[in-house]
Amino acid sequence: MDVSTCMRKTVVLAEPDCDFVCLLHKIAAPTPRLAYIVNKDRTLIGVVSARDLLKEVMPSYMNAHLARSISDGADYLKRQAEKARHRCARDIMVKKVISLHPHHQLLQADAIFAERGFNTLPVVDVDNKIIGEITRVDILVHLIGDPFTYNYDGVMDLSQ
Amino acid sequence: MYWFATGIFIVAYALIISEKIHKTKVALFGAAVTLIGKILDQQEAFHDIDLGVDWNVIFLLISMMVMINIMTKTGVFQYVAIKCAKIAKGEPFRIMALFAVITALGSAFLDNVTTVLLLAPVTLLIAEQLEINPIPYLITEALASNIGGTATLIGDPPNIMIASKAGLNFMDFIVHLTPAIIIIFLFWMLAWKIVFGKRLTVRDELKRRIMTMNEREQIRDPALLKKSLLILGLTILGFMLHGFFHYEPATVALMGAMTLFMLSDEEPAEILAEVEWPTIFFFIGLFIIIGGIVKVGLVEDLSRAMIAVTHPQPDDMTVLAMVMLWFSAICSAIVDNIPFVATMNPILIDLSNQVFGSAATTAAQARTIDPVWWALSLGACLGGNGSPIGASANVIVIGLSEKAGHNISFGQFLKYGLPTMFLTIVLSMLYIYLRYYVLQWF
Repeated sequence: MDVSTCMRKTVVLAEPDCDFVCLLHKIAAPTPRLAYIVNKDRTLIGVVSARDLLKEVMPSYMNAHLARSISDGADYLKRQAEKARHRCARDIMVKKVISLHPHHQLLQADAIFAERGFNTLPVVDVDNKIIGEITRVDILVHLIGDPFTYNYDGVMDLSQ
Repeated sequence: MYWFATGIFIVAYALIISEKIHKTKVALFGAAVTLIGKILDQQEAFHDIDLGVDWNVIFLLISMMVMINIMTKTGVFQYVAIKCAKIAKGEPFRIMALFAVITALGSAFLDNVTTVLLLAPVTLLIAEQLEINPIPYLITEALASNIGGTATLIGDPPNIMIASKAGLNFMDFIVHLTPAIIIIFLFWMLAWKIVFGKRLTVRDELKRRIMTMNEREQIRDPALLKKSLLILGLTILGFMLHGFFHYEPATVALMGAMTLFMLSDEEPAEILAEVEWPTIFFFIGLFIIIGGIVKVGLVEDLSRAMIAVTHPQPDDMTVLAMVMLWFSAICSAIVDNIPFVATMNPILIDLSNQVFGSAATTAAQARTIDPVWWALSLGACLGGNGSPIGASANVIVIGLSEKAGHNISFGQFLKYGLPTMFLTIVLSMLYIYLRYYVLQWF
């Protein structure tokens, strides 16, 4: 079984000039996922996750202990977020992207997920153009079967 | 053998300066070649006091690193920094001056790099809260750590190496170098007041942000903090008395570090993994390379050349002390001061042997040569302020600042570092000249 058998062909793309707010929109909707930063010819040049966006808001020097000393935490975070708004995908993206090719074995993809702690990996062609993505869940669904065929009470509204 | 050892030494130095290959790899490879080439045999490299690894330096460094690694987990440095910012009432220059004092004091007893690593995040946060540029603060801390580290035997690795080779004890450094550093620090702060005093201003509402910070949240483990402060205090007392009880500084440090280790709940694997092993192995490699050039006679030739230039006399080494001070400062601004001092130590010992006919053993001989050792220490430690690559603390501060989005260019660092180096070296020159050659106060 290779990657092409279960990869998704709908992906979130963004251009390098895409700003912070635009990236946030792209990642947050419809479901949390990665935004792939591509050139006009769809060559993959970087990737942005929610974690990367959060890193832009949270200064590198901050740690949990230091954070506790600040009384106006919300105000501090708002100021940081305001600064982050002016950054664009080119500044935020992770440039060293680990990607898969459609002919790679699922076992190889699964091993990379386990080793590197990723949830999603882009799938590119020989010219490094993005053609899809694959997630841990995609592999599990492919191996175990579609969970939606079973009747589980998975989602609960806890507000009531 | 002479040219083989000289070649290893020159190539190793060139590679260390170029930073193309990690200095630890260079030093260890150089040491391996020195051994395989039979310039030194293994017995000499590992067991000979004059030619081999100085285990006193190695164990002193490891012990202090262990102690610092345990202490950093208490959060005491961050507590003191925030407390000081509040004592300064959020006034930017007062904060800068107090942070410089904390850094200098911390560096006098702990590792310079650790001190700046602990204070830099608080500095960045406080600058953020005051909406001011953190760069002058961070550079000031790097400079203060290099100045403060010069004050004691354990403050900076060059001092540890000098103490071990010259047979100087902790109190010798307190008596001879600490007063110099206090004077230098006060003058430097005065200069900083003139430069920054009126430039650093912030609105009152921003100062209030500092006043609302809660420093108590920084103390992570109050029980460990009490133990750490007690053991550190006893260890410093041990350093002060090590000469009296005839213990080497490494023995005192090892006892202190291992007592704290026993009393803490920290896992050995975690604490020992945080020891800067690359630095420790850099020292080991370096000692063996230097042992090689001592054995083949290069050091003897270099000391003869130094005698020819400075004409030291058994009762007067004024010119040598002054030349040593400036030469060390300039070299340390360009080269890592550890290999520099590792090279200068045997040269000075050989020079002493040639001038006195044997190593300085009498009180009168020690009086003549000791100011030269102090000149080497002041020059090597304070010279590190002369460039961004002159000291590890500078490199670390620049890296942290860049990571936080505040790039410090080479030129920007020089703007602060070079005048500081010149000021501190001129003051050191006056101190040495007046104290030892005018007032004759040994």
